[in-house]
Amino acid sequence: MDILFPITPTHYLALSAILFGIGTAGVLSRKNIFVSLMSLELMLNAVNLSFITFARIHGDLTGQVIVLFVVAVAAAEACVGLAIVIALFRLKENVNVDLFNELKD
Amino acid sequence: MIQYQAFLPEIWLVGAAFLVLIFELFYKSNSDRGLLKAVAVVGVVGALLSLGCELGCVSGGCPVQACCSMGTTVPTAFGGFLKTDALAAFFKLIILLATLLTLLISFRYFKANPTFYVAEFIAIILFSAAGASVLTSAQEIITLYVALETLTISSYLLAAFMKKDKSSNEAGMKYLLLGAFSSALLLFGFSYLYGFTGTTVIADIGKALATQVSSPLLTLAVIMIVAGLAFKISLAPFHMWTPDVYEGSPTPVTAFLSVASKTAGFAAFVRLFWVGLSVPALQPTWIGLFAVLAVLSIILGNLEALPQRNIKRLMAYSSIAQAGYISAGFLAGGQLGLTAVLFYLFVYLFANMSVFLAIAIVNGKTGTDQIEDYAGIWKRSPLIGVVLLVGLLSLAGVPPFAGFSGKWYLFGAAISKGYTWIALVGMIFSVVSLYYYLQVARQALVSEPKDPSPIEMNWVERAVLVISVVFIVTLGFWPTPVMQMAQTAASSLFN
Amino acid sequence: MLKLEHFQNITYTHSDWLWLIAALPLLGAFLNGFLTLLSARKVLTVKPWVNALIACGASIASFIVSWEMFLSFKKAPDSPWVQDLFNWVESAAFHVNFSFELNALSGVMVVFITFVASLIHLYSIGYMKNDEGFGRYFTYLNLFLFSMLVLVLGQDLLVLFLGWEGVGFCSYLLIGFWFDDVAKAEAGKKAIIVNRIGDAGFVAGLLMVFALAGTFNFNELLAHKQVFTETTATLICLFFFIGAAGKSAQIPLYIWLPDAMAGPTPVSALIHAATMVTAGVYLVARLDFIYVLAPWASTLIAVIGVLTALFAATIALVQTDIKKVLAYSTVSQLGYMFLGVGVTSYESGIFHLITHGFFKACLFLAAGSVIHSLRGEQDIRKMGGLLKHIPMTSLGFLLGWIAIAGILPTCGGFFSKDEILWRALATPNPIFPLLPEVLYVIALFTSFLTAFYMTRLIVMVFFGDYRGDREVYEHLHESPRIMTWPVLALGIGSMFIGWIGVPTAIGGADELGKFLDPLFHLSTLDANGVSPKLEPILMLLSFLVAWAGVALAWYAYGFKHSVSKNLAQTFSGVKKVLEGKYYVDEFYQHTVVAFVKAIARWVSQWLIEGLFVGRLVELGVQAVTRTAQAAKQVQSGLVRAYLAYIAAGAALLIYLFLHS
Repeated sequence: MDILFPITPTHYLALSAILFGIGTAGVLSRKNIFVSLMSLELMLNAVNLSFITFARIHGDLTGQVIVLFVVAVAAAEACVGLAIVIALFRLKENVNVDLFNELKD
Repeated sequence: MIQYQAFLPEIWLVGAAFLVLIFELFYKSNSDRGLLKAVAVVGVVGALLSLGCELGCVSGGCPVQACCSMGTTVPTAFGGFLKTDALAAFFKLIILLATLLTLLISFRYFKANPTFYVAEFIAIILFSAAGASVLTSAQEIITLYVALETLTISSYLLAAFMKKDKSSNEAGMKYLLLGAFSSALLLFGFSYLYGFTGTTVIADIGKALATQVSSPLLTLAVIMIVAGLAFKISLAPFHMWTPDVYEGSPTPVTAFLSVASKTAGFAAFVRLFWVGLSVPALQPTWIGLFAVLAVLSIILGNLEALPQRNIKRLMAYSSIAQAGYISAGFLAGGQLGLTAVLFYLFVYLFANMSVFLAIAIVNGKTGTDQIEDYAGIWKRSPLIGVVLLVGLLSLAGVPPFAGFSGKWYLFGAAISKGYTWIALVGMIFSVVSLYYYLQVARQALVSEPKDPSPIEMNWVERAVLVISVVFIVTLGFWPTPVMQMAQTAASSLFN
Repeated sequence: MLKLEHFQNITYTHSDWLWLIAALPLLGAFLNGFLTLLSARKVLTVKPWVNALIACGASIASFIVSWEMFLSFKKAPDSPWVQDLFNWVESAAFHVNFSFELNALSGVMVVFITFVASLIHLYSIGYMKNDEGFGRYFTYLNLFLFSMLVLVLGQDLLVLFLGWEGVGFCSYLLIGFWFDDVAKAEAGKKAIIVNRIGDAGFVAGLLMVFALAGTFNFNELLAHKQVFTETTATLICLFFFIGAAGKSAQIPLYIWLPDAMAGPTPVSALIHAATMVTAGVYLVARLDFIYVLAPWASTLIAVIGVLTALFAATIALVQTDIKKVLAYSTVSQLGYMFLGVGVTSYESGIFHLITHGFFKACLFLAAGSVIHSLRGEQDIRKMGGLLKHIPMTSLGFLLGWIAIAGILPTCGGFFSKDEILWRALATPNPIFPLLPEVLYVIALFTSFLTAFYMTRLIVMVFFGDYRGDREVYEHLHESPRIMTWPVLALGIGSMFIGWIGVPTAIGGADELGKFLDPLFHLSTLDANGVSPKLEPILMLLSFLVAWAGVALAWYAYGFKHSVSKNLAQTFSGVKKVLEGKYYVDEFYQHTVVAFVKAIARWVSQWLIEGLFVGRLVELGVQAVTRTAQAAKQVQSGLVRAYLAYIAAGAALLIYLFLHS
């Protein structure tokens, strides 16, 4: 790839932003709660990417350490999320988030 | 060197949580779990005592010199990532008291809604409180983030705790999706903050940004952080989850979210913004942001509360409006504004918690949260009538209750920094808020009860309600002692 | 934070215990209130003697503490004792310390109040015996004492106001103590409504003081008194006088006090004769440094005082209810006190306040004892000849009569009243040069009336033949000793209380005057061209006038009943007006009350019903339904919509803040 153009940290940041956007779009548009959770993971991974890029720019390890923490937190989040999905599925035999709208004004 | 005093309250909380989980193993499936409750209460009380001891040592007034092994130095741990100064201690005090009251409410709640998982509930509450508590001492954004997630992920579980109950599940699901989404926004903002400064320590971020000029990306990062954290304290327009989650969650969880979670959110805001981002390049931006959010919250929260029929939902909108009032003091900042924020949070703790305890007690008897079912509650239990009246009037900011002096300080701080219009909006909508608060009080005090049977409560609940009322009234007449504590706490931020 | 060495090295001075004076009755009120609540809930039964012991104990202990403190204070009366209790209000612009101050004035007042209150507490044990509300009564009584002591000790106008409202509230509770009786509950309401008018004046005064001086502390006000110009001082003084007139029953706000007699008689003695109603006089004396700046206001106070004295005394001439006579007499005597402070002779006002407190409390307690003996009969036309049946009570009453009528020099109110008369004449008025003479003549005439109506009262009650029901007569009995002894104690006390201020003009020491003098500003004046040698002569004159009143009344009511009947016939028109109390109540009913009612009707029908409910509430309801509809749209319950709002909100903020 070096032959075409040099890949700078800015490219990584752009990729991270794009991933974050895709994740956001996924969470907003998908009805299936599994896909929503996956999109959330995508957003977090986009953030991870930008953290690593900045760590690289600054030559600093902190950014990489953060990523480990974020991965752990994301795992916990996914775990709780899936548990709730199971409970929801038991109630309605369905994981479409739009079906769960009894709490409203 | 790690000074364990910096996180002694959290050790108590987490220790108690684990003990609860272990002791639970020895219980038969449907025995009452009295010991677990005792362990949990001992854990929180221990945390409060250690906090008090630490505060005493730092201020040089601890009567037992033996417990102050490190003199009057402010304890720090993990390379300065945790530092329990007076500000953190004040926030911890509110959070721990809220946890204690939440436990009390949950004992009542589980009497009416039996579940096999009391131990788990208690443990998660304690874990959650530990997260909130760490958050207040965090001097660094990773620590802050991890603590915040400990608090919120536990809260997702708590909101969805009644797993056979549709609305509880729905509340949990909504809270999870929206909360995770806002956390992602927050983290995105953090990553850019790190990118701009190359450090995660809040004070160093402040130093690094001090010389920088404003740039669009930096502003973007700040807005993302504000959006992510504003979600946690339910500032409009990031408040949509609040009514649904408050209504659907078990009442103790609602109470916990409305006080402990919100206090933790403000703690994060105060440290992050008044230490890290209090730089010329950014300050006007985020103060403007908060002005918009505060005014929006005050207006939307109060207006949407008007037509509510469910008391938990009403309290949700009320808490949105309250977050708006507190933000008015927060954005004024400085010694005056932060003192006002701390004082108001303390008052809010008692008013909100006593009202939620009353709600739990009524729900335990009648099984509903509809305001119309509060008719004539006064005749069924005079104390609950008084609590609803005093607590709600204090929230509305009616003299002579503590909420009045609290709002006085908040709006006074805002006016002193030139945000008269925010204070004005706050005052006008405080009057609007009287309408819905008084509607509950009127229902409780004036109407005739459909079912006149008295509502029982045990002596602990009675005592807590009475103490709360006494606090609310006393702080209204004589706010000075708490004000002085709040002043010390606020000034520790600027040293 | 407290450390051990704090306790080791401090030797407590007396002023550190100043709070105890007020705290003891408060503790008593708390204990009694708690016990009464518990017994009302049937948690435990509380014997009446427990309530009585707590309440009387608290009151007497408070008296002992104040007496002890007063004695050691008297050794060095120039330095007031101040105790800062706590920071009451703390904000940027506004700072109030809750602190007590014991100076010459408050010291004298505290001793006087706790002493009289203790005796009345004891008396109440007998009077309220067998009453269902025994515990409640003593709770209120202690609470009243606490408020009164806060009022007197407060070093700050706001603390004083706290006590001021506290005594008003307790007075309301105690007037309407037997609230089952509608008329009595109404009397309580009347008292509180009339007092609200006064309090509005008080609050206006407070606001004005704060706006000008920025503080409520008496000492700071005194130090900054140059901020008050004559105009502002006059306004402030008038506002505070409205408050004082409400509390101390002066024209035009005196109407509540006679009705307040609906409460238990010891309450009338303590609150509506000896202590609370004198709070207005105390207020004026405490703010003397502002009042001396405002000659117009002081003149007005003197004029209103003397007119009230005359006016109430004339009404008292024809009253037939024993307590009503005493009530109007109280209003009249309060008028004297205001005359005293109005001519800027603050010591004489306070002197009379104290002597009056003694003899009027004595008279009321004795009247209570009479009523008790006659099983609730209050009409003096149905009494007579009681002297031989209830000798102890009669003796007490007669001592009070001697004191109030001023017929024995050195006894009771003789010196204090005379001091006021003398000052009224001797103090030049900067506005109306002839006013002192007018004030003196009216006041002298009033003292004649005082002697007359009091003599009429004792003649009709204690002498002659019994005129009431036979059945009551057969059960006529002396009250128990717990009631008669306090009466006698007060009676004997009122014989000697005058000794604290024997005028120097007749060779006395005038201890009280000398003690208080350094505290007051501008109290010794040039003698208006009247020679001080005149004072003994004037004293003799008022002595003769009082005896004339006694003689005339005794002649008319004791010997020649035809005289009194002829008098009544000749002046039947006057009598009717007097019996109708000058129709002031009716006048208020048809003017002020009718006007307020008309406004209220207009407000309720046109403003509230028509405009507010009709339009505004309609608007409000619409606003609520609209927001409800809007909220339904927004708060749709769909989590993905919420997500979109968060994203949109963030996007909007980004747009707003990046764009600019």
